[in-house]
Formats: sequence, C-alpha cells, structure tokens
Amino acid sequence: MFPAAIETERLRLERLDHEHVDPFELYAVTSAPEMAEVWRYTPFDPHETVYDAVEYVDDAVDRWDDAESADYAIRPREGEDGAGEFAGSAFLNTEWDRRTGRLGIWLAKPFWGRGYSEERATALLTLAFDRLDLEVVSVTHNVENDKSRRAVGKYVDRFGGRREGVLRNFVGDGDYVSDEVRYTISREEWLENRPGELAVEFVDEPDTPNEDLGGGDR
Amino acid sequence: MTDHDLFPAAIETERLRLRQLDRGTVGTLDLYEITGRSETIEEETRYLTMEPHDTPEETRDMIAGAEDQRENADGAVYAVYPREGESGAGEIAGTTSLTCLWDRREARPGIMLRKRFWGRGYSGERAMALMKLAFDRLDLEIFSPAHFDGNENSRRAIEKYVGRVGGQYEGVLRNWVPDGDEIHDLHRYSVSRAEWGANRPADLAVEFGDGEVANDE
Repeated sequence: MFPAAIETERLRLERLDHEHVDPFELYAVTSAPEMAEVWRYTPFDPHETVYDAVEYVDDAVDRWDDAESADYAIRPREGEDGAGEFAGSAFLNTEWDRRTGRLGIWLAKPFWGRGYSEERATALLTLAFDRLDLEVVSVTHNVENDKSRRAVGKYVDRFGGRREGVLRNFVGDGDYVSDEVRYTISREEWLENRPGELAVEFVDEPDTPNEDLGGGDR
Repeated sequence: MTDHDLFPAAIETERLRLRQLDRGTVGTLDLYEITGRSETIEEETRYLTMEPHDTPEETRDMIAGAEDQRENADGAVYAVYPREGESGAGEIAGTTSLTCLWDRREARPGIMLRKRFWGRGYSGERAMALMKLAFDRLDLEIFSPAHFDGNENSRRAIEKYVGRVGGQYEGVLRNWVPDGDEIHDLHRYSVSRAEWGANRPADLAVEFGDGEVANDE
C-alpha cells in the first residue's frame, strides 16, 4: 500500500526499516544534544542507547505492516550537500476511520533551512490523496514552536488549507502535555492548489512472486 | 463493584440531580423508553454519535458500557433528573457523561437531553457541575465541550456557559468524528482550570453525594 521509496526533486524518502536505516546513523541524530530544541516541542525522549534507535525502527516497521503509518528516512539526493546521508524522519500516519492522514517530520540540524519540510510535505500529500484516497491531511505543532509555525503555515497556505485553531492539551504523553495548533488540507483544496508540475515519484518494491496465491500445482 | 470513588454516585445542582448510570439505579426498560421507544429520539440524537436504540439490549449494553467506563476510570455517565419543583420532576430528562483523557489532563463532557426538557438551561447547569467535578475534584486541566457542525442548540448552550467561565472557542476540526458512513467536523471549545478558578459562579450550588443518598428518592 505504501511505496517503498518516494523521490522528489532533491530528496529520496526510503522506508524506515532495518534494511534502509542503520541504527547508528539514526542514533547519531536522536541522541545529539543539538536536537534538544526539536524534542522540547514533542513527546519524544532523546535516545540514550543505540538500542533505543533499534526499537524506534521496530515500531515504525510494526506501524507500516499494520498500515497505520508510513515512516520514511529522508536522504538528500545527488547534487545536494550531504547527499545520501540520513537527514531525518517523516511519516504519514493514516487514521483510516477519519479518512485523515497526519503528517510529522524531524530533520537533523545540518539540513534545516533548505525547504526540505515542504518538499517532503508535497510528497506525502501526493501519497495521501492520489494514492491512498484520503479526504484530509492534518498537521499540528506545539503552539510555541515558531520554526514549525513558519514551515507549516507556508505550505498549508500554498495548498489552500486552513489553520483550525489552538487546541489546548491536545497532545498528552507521560509528563508531556501540549497545546497544539492544528491545520488541515482537504482533497478539494489539494486538487485546486497542487503544483502544476509535480516531481514526486513513487518507487514500489518489485513484486515478490507469490506462490501461495491460487490453487497451483500441489 | 469498584472501590475507587473518583466519580461521585450522585451530584445535585439547584434544579437537577445526576445519578451514575448503572444497573442499580436505572431500569433498562425505563431507559429504553427514552433511548428507543421515544418519538423524539431521532431529533434528540441527530447531532450525536448515539443512534436510537432498536432493542432493549442496546440500552442494556449502554448501561454496561457506562459501568465499564467507570470501573476503568475512563469517565462516568449520569442519568439527569429534574428535582422537585421542576416540571417533570423525577423523570429521566436525559444522560450526561464526563470522559477523562488522563494523559491530556482533559475532561470531555457529553449530553443527550430529551426534547421536552430543552430550553430550560439544564445543559449549562449540568456543565457547571461537571466542571466542578473535573477541576475541583479530579484536578484536570482542561474541560473541552464540542458539537457537530450544524447543531445550533448545542452551539448556543456551549457558547453561553463557556463564555460565562472565560473559556474559548478553539475551532472546527475537519473529519474528526467517524460516525457510520459519515465523518463529522467538530467544533471544539475549552475551559482551563485557571479560567474556571477566576470565573466560576460565586453562588454555585453543586453537591457531590454517595450512592446511599441517591437511593432514597
């Protein structure tokens, strides 16, 4: 259901699993002190051992297999500074009963300020609407997170979506309770405002011969 | 029975008495008269996820669900009765609930009021009681009423009592409530504990009681 990889002009998103992500390259980011300013606006606990990173991938694999969430590793493509490196993680969480996809992203610090967030949003909006037939894509950020406010506000405007409001205590996880600004983009808004020349390409895993299907020879 | 007493068995306000919905307080068939047989139930549930009950068994499940919710400390459901002096005193005027999202320190109220009891301000009166429960007793941070798009009666009632205690309208969440083949947009409001503390009515007459008191009447 979810493409194994998605390519945009400057990025390649690869399925976040053990085949495509090395726990040490993930851990280098998720344990970096400089990332604290990112985590402070999320319920995420920085990783303390590389095993935390292994479990992070395990969870993403489970959610993928259960069709609950498409989690990707973000890698800049050739020509970009740091091409091929692990630049961060992005997901489209599928709330099927709400016909809603929820976006999330975090980027390692060297990759900030390049507009990668919007490029990845375009890719995952394409996935949500064109491939998964969802009705709404939502994104929230902590009300005090100015960086996210700028990045999210920009692409939500661009795609004709709307800022719904500030939802108090909308996220709660352990000690972390957060007021969130929620935005949504509907399928109609997307169809009206999607980029004319969409450079988003889905790369599916090659079909594995399925010998269990059908009667076959016994 | 559970041994926790997070939710009082009975709550009294000036004009209302709330009693926790369980098999000991409300007869299944009595409640089914309201949730199933009533001629006004379609109109009363039009903007709720609750569907009119087709059989008493669904009403039984509703009561059992309320008991489970309470046992798990997920919240409480109350039957609402007008007190003496009110027209229809002692009848079940509807049901109201308080759902606790402990991770978010949040309490969500819900209500289903029979049409003949509309327009009396009962929703606001019970909201004050549930806010007192949420903030003063359960130490939660946020009380978050909500209504579907198009539900003008609830909108007016909520705006009035949220405004009275200094709360706010947050916005409309698109595609928020799956309901059979439909998905409703939800208008959400919130009152914080601080707003409640600063604006709660000085003359608020709300009393929490235990089960035995409730069984006398």
